[in-house]
Amino acid sequence: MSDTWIIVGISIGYLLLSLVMGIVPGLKVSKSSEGYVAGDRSMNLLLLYFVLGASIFSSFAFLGGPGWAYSRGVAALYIIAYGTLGMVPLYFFGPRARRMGVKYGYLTQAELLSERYQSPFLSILLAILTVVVLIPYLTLQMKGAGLVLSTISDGEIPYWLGAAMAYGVVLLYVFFSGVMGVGWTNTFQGIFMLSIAWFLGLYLPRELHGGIGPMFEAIQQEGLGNMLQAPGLQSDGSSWSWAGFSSAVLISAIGFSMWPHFFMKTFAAKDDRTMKLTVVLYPTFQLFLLPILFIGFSAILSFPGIEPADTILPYVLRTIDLPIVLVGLVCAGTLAASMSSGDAILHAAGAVFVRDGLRKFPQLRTAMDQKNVERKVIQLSILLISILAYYFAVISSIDIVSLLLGAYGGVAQLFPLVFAMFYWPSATRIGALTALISGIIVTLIFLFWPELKPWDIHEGIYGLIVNLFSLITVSLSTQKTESSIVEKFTHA
Amino acid sequence: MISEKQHGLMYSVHHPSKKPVVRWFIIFLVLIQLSLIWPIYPLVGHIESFILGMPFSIVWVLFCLLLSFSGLLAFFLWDEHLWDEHLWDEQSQAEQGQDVLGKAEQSKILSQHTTNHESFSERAKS
Repeated sequence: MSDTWIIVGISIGYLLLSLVMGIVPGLKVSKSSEGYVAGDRSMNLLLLYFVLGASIFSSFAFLGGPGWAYSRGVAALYIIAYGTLGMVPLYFFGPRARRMGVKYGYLTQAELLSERYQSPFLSILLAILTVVVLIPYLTLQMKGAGLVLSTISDGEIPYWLGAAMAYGVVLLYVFFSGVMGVGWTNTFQGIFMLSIAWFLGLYLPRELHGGIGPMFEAIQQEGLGNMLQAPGLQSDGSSWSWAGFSSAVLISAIGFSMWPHFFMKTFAAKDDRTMKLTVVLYPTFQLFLLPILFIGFSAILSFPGIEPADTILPYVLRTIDLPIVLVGLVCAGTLAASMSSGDAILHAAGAVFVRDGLRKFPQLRTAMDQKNVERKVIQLSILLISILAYYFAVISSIDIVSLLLGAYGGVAQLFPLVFAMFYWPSATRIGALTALISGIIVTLIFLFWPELKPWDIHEGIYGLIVNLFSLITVSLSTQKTESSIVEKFTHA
Repeated sequence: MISEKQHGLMYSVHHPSKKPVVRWFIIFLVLIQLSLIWPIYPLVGHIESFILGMPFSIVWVLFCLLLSFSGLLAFFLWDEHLWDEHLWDEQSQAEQGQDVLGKAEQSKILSQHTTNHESFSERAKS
């Protein structure tokens, strides 16, 4: 048996194990929408920690993280810098959202927002935006999985088949098990990929430079000290400005907890304590990003000039003399990173599309109120969204990456609405809608026409300024929301 | 009821006494975030000195990460302690006011809280 097929065999074995881990837990929850979307609100600390933690370990973290460290030096610390406090808002919002979920049956972020601001339109708008944002996100994860399998098999498994294999498995367990499938596979995948990350992050600097200290000293001595001097480099090799770095960290930290597939996990938490403790422990997951960055640093001097930088990890693995079983395990770890984000995204996109979009139409709501019909519609949506993402990953040549870039600034525009929902009784429907729409428009304008920016800061910050201004001024000059509705949230 | 004139932020209606601590905690979090961006990070984001083999620009970010974790943990423990005290107070009030409140109503109040808070029920059992 050739080395290639040993690696492929390990990866396929890993996929099968993920499938079993994903299908079995789904048999234990109810067949209702609540069971499918929120796991009957029974997730314990271990599951919630890994569901939220493994979601950030996406293809981007596993392939892009080393790529950033390799090409841009300490600029890659940006990922740790925004994640340090990015989850903290959920310490305050999470338990309130969870309690409201238990009391009123909410399962998504938009259900809360549309109730507080008394606007079905807001719900539909959020459903559309969520699906528009999450499909490119999912597509990138599929591309990552396809690339890994085709690279390690030397093309024996074509790219289209690799993506189909990995995401066929994801589709099966998300389709049948819902969020509990996501929870258990993420726990398994999380532990697996963290072990791989730490192993590689410590092994490669030692193998290539004799240790972490000698590695950084060598980078400095070779005249590449600017890579180690904060805030690091831009993609063109010039120094990143402090305004650019700081605003990128800030907007990502603000938007981090607002991602729909993150926020809706608050409804799955078993109790308030579980939700809070997950947020408290979250920085420990961020610590695991460090060895990922060491992988990139270790390759700066040993393998210069590799393009694109994101391929540095597979390149190093192919080049150095690692035992073949280890290479197979690393490939499986990369698949784990892709799948543990992809499954949560796929599940959230389907649930949000149905709960926040389709259910807002009275005729459809009546039909979905019948027993388990809604769950079946969500499953059907998950199937359709997978097909669409696969189309973009394999067939279409549309540049979807630009859509995703805009998403980070866009998702932060939800923060003022969520904050005001719980803490500012004067926020009104018109104020919220104006704030969200104006914030997103301003963000998109500066994303597509960056030359219009007055200062070199992230476009999302401009959007957020307009968003906040609109929310306050319009809310104070429009009719207040009925106090009984507001109190449901402020007293939650 | 919410006053028509109220434009300010609504703070925790359950624990007004938490307000000063939460305010300091939020200031602590803001300082940590500022330590990771301009204006504080430029002051410390240089290469020298190397600690545990890593340049100081990396060590600083790790230090902030550990600091935020410690702060969050301390706040969580305080928060938990407050909840427990609050619930025990309510329980003793309920016991003292047996003549005023019916037993059914007292147990309703307690069960409402215990469903939201597992650690209390564990303590009550012990």
